[in-house]
Formats: sequence, structure tokens, C-alpha cells
Amino acid sequence: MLGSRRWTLGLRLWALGFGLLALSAGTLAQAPSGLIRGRVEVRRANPPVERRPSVGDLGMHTAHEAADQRRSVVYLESAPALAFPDIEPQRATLDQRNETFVPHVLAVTVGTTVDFPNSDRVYHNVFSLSGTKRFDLGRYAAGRSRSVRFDRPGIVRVFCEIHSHMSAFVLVFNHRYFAATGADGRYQINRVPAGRYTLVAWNEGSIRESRAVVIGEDTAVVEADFTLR
Amino acid sequence: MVMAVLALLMCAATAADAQDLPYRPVSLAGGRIVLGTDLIVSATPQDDGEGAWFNYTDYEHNALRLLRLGVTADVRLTDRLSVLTDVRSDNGDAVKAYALYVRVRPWRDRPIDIQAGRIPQTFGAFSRRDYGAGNPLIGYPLAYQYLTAIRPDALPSTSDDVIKMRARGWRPSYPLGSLAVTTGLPLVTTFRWDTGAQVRVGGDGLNASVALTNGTVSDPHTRDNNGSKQIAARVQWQAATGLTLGASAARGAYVADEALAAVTPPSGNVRSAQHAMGLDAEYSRGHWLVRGEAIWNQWQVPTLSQNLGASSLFLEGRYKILPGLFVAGRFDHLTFSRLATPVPRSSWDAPVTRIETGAGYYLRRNLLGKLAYQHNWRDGGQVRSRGLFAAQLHFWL
Repeated sequence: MLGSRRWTLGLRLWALGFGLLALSAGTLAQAPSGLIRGRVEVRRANPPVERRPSVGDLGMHTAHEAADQRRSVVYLESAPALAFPDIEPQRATLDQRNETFVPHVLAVTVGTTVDFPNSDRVYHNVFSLSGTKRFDLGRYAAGRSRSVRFDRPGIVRVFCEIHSHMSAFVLVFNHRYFAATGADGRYQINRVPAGRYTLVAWNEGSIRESRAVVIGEDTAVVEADFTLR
Repeated sequence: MVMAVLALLMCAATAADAQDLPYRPVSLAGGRIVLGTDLIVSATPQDDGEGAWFNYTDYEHNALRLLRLGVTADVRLTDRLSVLTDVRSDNGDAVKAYALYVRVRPWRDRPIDIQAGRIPQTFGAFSRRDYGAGNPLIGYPLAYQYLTAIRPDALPSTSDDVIKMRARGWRPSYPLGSLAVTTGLPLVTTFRWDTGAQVRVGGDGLNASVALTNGTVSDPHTRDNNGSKQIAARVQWQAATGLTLGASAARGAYVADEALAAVTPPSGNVRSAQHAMGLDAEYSRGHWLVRGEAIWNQWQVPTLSQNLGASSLFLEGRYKILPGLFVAGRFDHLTFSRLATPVPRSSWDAPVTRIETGAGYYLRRNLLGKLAYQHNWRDGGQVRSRGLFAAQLHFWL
């Protein structure tokens, strides 16, 4: 179920970007715009991924940091016309610290290059088998970094081959109308052109909720809170 | 049955393209109880008569034809006290507790851990990484699986008795002790764990472990079968990121009371110990992983003046050629000491060489399919050379 949802999301994002290419760039730049903000409350976040029982080990493992599973992403499912020309090549970072990916959820635009520095004292091996982007960065030591360019929209699940409890999500959009929530669950999407949209709040697993929002010609701010159960 | 389950899993794997499989261990009571599972299906097209010659394990199972369902559990009673277990059923047999022990860290700020019960092997490196995708191939290293002509419950009366059993580790028999038909011992078994207590001192960089157990590295026991304990020790050093070096040693009496009682006249100080020493190394970088392990082993036989020696060396490597796809290979050699017999002077068991190559593909992050080919050469016995194909699917949480 979850996989098909991810696939559907990727398809929707792709179809949207593809379908809006015909409009002129000037239209978007001159259109009145507003701001969407609010708070996402995750009532039932997935429990952290535990380390597999280390029955074969001769002693205890060092404790690892728990990932922030409450971090969500809010985005426009139906993006405004000519979202593509707004996208500039970006760079982002998904750190590996205390055997945890930080942040647990990263949202980027298509074409973004994500750096995966290793800030631990042990090896890590970042990889993904997602249909959107398959990659394997191999093993590299502390202080080293390797990078991946994400050139298709969709959800990419990232793991470490050595540490089974490490996982993260990279959400790749072909527009810029999205925001990751902060530690307090708050988010803000800026410069949204006037129009009628479907706003989606996503949290890992199958937790997803959407609602309609309207940015009017003279609307400055739209408040939209979500409660994900 | 194994072939049927393998086919079923292949279908399930194909269907899994449409949706994600569960991947996280089951977590209960707020993370205090964590359950992992392993489902392993290995199959070979050759029948047991061919395939088992070189791949019998100590439970008379063929390592290339195996259906294993295992559940591991870590019950964290406090942040410094856990109970760990691993229960398994192989080929539909009764469920057995492969591991069941308590892990304690007595002092919060000192890296000292104590484990007591049915505990992991202290000796060597392979036994403890036979978990998850730790074995890049399907077969096991010879030192950890191949059955020699040594038996703990039956003894030869002369050197000739030993020579007659060359290459018959799957069913050696001797005149003294048990007359039951059973298998011989590998150098170090990875299919059973020993019972006793273990202490590890040190952290990830440098650590040392010592264990006192009922059995020996080749013949672990829940209950002591000879009134003598084994002491085993291991030092492990992470010399650099990605480079781990280890040294191990073990000494313990392996001959059961049942066999000792048949030695006439019983001497007061019977030589019946197994001595083992091992060196191991692992290096990984980028998409490469290379491992090697050497073991020197000696069994004292109360009825013989000479010790029976055996040594083993294996080197294995894995290279990931694409995301989710890897190739692997292992060179493995097991050799035996020479025994003074009338004519000719010969090694007491037949040396074996194995080369195994294979490839693995991750259908999902925790669903791994492997194909492998191994060729075995043996300097003795009815079957001198045999090539074997095998396939395996492994799903774990």
C-alpha cells in the first residue's frame, strides 16, 4: 500500500511539472502571491527503528541517537503554473551523526545535489534501492563526504548498509512549494501565487493528509494546521 | 520442500515490487523488547548424495539445502541488563534455543560486559557474523562447517583406525566408546553455541574477551559431558576505520566421559584437549570488503601418542558492482597433519580445497537473493571433486 502511494505521489508530481511547461515565465513572476503557514501535529509517529537484536555480539553496543520521526513535510500537490523555471540547482546536506541521519526527512527540488558527510568515527555506507533514485555510496570514513544528485521527483528511502537502524527520507519535488516542519512542527511556504491548491502534509509511513487552500488576489497569509494520526 | 518454499519466496519477491515489505524489527513495550526474524531458504539442484559430501553440518543438515526460520529477541530489563535469545527451526525440526543468555554491564561508566548462558562463540570471527547478510556466499567456510573424522564420543585404538576414516567425517566410527552412527566434528562449529560465562573488556577500538564454557569450539554443550571446562579468549583491534584485526585462542577437553571410560586401563591424567588458535582480519573501503581467517587446531587423542592437527585458511571478498548487486568469492583450504603409520605416511584426514563464487541481489533492503557455485577438491575418499550450484533467499527484520 505504502509503496503504491509513493509511486502515485511521484507520478503526480512528475505529471504536474510536465503538464505546465507551456505557460510563460512572466506570468508567474508578476502574479500576486501569499504565504501558507501552520503547524503539523503528529499524534502517532512511528516508533524509532530499533537495532536488530545483537545476539551474536560479545557485548553491548554504544547507544545511538533516536531519529526525529515527527518531522513532516507540507507541500502543494497541485503546484502553480511554471513551477519549473523557479528551480535553481541547489545543494543540501544529510549528515550521519551518532549512527543517525540528520535530518530524518529532507525535502529538495529536482536537480539538487545532496551531500552525505560522515560525522561519526565509524564507517557508514549510504544507499537507496528506491525506484526514484538507486545509489550506493560505498563505505567511507569520518570526515569524508559523498554526494548524490536527485534528478527525478519522488520519495527516496535512504539506509546505511552497516547500521540497520539508520534510515531517512529524501522527498524530491519538481517545484519549490514545500516546507519541512521544524522541531515545533511549524512550517511556512513562501511566495505562493494566487490560486486554488491542494495542500498535503506528509509524515513517514503511510501518514498523509490533504486539504484545499485558496490564495486570493489580496490574501497575504493562509493558516493551515494539520493533525496526523 | 525447500525447493517449493524457494519458489514461493521468489513469487513473493516479485509481488513485492508493488509494495514495500516490512523492514523494521518488531518493537514492543516502548522499545524494551525487540524481535528480529530470519527466514532463509537455500537449495541446490543436486541431490543430497552429491551435495552433502562437502556441506554436511553437525546436525546432519546440508548447508546448501536449508530452510531456517529464526527469531531473535533482546529483552532490555534495564539499560544495563538484557536477556537475549535466538530460537530456530531448521528444515521443520523442533524449535531449539540456539542462544539464550543474560548480558550485563555492571558499571555504567566502564566498558565491561558480562554474558552468561548459551553464549556466542568467543573464538574466531565467522560464527558471530552468520547473521543477516554477514555471509556473502551460501556455503560456510570449511573450518566452521566441514566434518572431520574426529568424534568426541568414540576413540580409535590405533593410528590405522584413524586412517581408515579419512574423508569419512559424515559418518566416522571407532572401536572405543559409542558405537552409534553419527557425524564427526568441524574445527569450530557455527551451528551450535556453548554454555558458560563470558567477559568483554574494552570498547569498539580495542577489546578483549574471555569465556569459560562447558564444551569446546568444535563441540559446544549445554551440559558438561566430561567434567572439564574450556577457556577461550579473543582480542580485537580496530586498527583503522574499516580495518579490524583479531586473534583468538581456546583450550578445552573435548572427549566425552563415555569414550574415556572405554580407554583401558584408564590413566589418571588423560590427554583429551582441543587446542585452537586463530587470526582474522577484515578490511573494507568503498565498494570492497575483504576478509581472511586462519585457524590452527590440535586434538589430543588419549589412545594415540601423536596429536591430530588441522589448519585452515580462507580469504573472501565482496564487491558491489551496482546498487543492490554484488559479486563475491571465497578461497578456502583445510589441511591435516601427517600421522606415522606403517606405510604409507599420510595425513590423518583428507585435505579439502574449496572455491566458491557467487552473486547477490537485494530485491528489497532486507530481502536478499544469492546464486553461488562452489567447487570442492579432496585428496581422498570416494568423491574427490564436486561442483555444486546453490540458490538462496534470505528475508530478515
